[in-house]
Amino acid sequence: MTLPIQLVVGANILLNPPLLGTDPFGRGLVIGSSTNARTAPNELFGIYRSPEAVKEDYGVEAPEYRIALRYFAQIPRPKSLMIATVALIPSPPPPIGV
Amino acid sequence: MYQIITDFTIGDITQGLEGADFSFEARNSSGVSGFDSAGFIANLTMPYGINQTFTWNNIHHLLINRLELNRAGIEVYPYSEGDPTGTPLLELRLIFRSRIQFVLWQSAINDLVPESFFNRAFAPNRWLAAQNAPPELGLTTPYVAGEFVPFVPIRPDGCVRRIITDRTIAEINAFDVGGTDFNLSLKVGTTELSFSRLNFQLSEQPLSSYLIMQEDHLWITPYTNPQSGEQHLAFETFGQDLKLYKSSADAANSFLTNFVDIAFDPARIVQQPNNEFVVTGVQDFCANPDDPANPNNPPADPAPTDPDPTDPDPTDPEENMSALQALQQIWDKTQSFYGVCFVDELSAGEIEDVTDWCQSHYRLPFFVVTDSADAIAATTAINQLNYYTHVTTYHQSHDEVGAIMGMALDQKFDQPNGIKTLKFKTLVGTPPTPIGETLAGQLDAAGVNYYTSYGNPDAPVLMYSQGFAGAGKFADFVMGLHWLRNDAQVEVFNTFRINPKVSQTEGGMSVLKAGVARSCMRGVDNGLIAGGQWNGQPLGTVNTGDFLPTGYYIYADKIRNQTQQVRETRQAQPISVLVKGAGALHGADISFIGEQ
Repeated sequence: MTLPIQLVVGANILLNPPLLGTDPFGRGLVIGSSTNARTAPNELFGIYRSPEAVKEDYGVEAPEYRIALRYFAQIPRPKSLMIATVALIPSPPPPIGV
Repeated sequence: MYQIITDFTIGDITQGLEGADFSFEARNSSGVSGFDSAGFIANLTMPYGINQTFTWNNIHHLLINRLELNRAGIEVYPYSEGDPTGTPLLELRLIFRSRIQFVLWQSAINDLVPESFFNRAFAPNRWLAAQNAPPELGLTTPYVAGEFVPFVPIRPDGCVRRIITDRTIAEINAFDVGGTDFNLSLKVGTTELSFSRLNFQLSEQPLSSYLIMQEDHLWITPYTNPQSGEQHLAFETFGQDLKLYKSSADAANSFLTNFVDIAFDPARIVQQPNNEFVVTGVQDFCANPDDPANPNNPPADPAPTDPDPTDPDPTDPEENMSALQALQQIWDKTQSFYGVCFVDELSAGEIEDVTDWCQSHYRLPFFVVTDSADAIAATTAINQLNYYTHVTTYHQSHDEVGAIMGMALDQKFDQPNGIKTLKFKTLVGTPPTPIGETLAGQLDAAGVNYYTSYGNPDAPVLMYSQGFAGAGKFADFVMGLHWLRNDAQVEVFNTFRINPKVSQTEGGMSVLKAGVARSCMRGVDNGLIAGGQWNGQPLGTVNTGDFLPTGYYIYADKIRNQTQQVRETRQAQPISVLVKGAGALHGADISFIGEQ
């Protein structure tokens, strides 16, 4: 029978708390309203790392895909793109009162 | 819109009068003090020689200018169902038109005005008995009622120029405590106008139902914000230039509060070189004939049924949101992005809204406008408001916004010399926009970017120009400052998190300043910051004109200078940082001086 030496010499492991990083300055956001294959919990937005991934969710007809294709075509190639889908139709200003 | 068209033409009405007078009145039921009745007496002589008796509201002026707006909110002008310009004047009828319900009625005939206008202008079957009139008009003589017709803007293109107040009518009214007066200077075209509190009559009337005032081709009318449902005021003209301002004399008048100060955000009031304070944000608005939301248009065909009710329905205004609302909705869920663009091309108003939001949230929006004139107009409008946080590009294809954003966001802030300008850069897979030198000059002046070819037409170089972010700033510097701000913020936050405690002493302040200094040093490394002469305002030990060898200077007041009250809230002294941007060369002039 032995006793743990912790009784004699206390030793603990302390990790530094996780720290904050800067905002992702290299990431663009595309806001559109096309129907897509994303499901909950990512219904509002998704982060994509290639145009192929965008194609899977949006198909080749969606303007989101066309924009993503041009975004990822740049050299150096951007690392990621966020695409958000909202019920968005830019609307003209309302009519003047009668 | 209500209107009355005479049964007989101007020629019939005026024939044979030879100097006899007639009179009539137009009256509306709003009961607005001072505007509830207006009469005019016209002295009709020869067919074209119609003279007037009063200086405002005279038929002579009406017939020459073909448009007359009178003080009762009723306009009168020559009218034809065909082309009015091709019809001889005497064969035109007269139309009375107003947005308010009104009637025409005959004022008392006396020796001075023995001839009845109505007997000459309307057939007997147009007369209505006085007892049928609304009792509040108090009519005792027959009258002709205004007929409701769908609103038709007077200008052929149906456009108005307008300014909408930022404050609601209720907020403007709330200012009116104890009868405080205010004044307002206006310019419509070249006509200068001035109004006081009494002209508006804001608090005494149910504003939702009628316009407030119409004078000198100016309408002041309630405007319901479609998003909030709150009522604001709109100042509208039919295409004339419109300016709301306070002169330096108005500004110096301490007895009267100026209307622009209580109705508009301070950011919209811009001081001009002549010391006038002018309200910016004049919009051109054209009623869209195809817009089903416009109540002036005939009702649209019933919308087809939506197969899946959960899909966003583009025809249902309930389900749509503005570009800004969409952005705010996403921001509530995630802040993990920096550049922003939209799938659809935005209107000038939405570009301004989004830019405003992005500037205060340190994000960078990218816009592509497919019409050069629209791009210049939109950018000029927002740059006048000193927004420097948008990258607006003129290009024939809106999809290229993706290419521009992908190219621009490639800033490597964590690498030595990792920052790049946008100018001179090639967009992969993007066709150039054919742009002549004149248009290029206009785009540059307005701060609009473009992608075009330079140099030898046989082997042109495609490149992006100029990399503007608005208000004379360049996008790379704006992105750099956004990064520096965020990096220093994170440094200080992490300092609080790592240390068991940062004391409220000079030592503690040094720890915080060291965090800011680490960010600035990274800024020097990546090429954002470089040493140079400080030409801005003095701070701490740095005076205007001093050389900043490192390119930055961090200053905070001594902690002992804190008041006890602030000290007890555990706030650090505010830290200010002077940052000298490294800048970038965008052009050069080279001279060769030869000698043999």
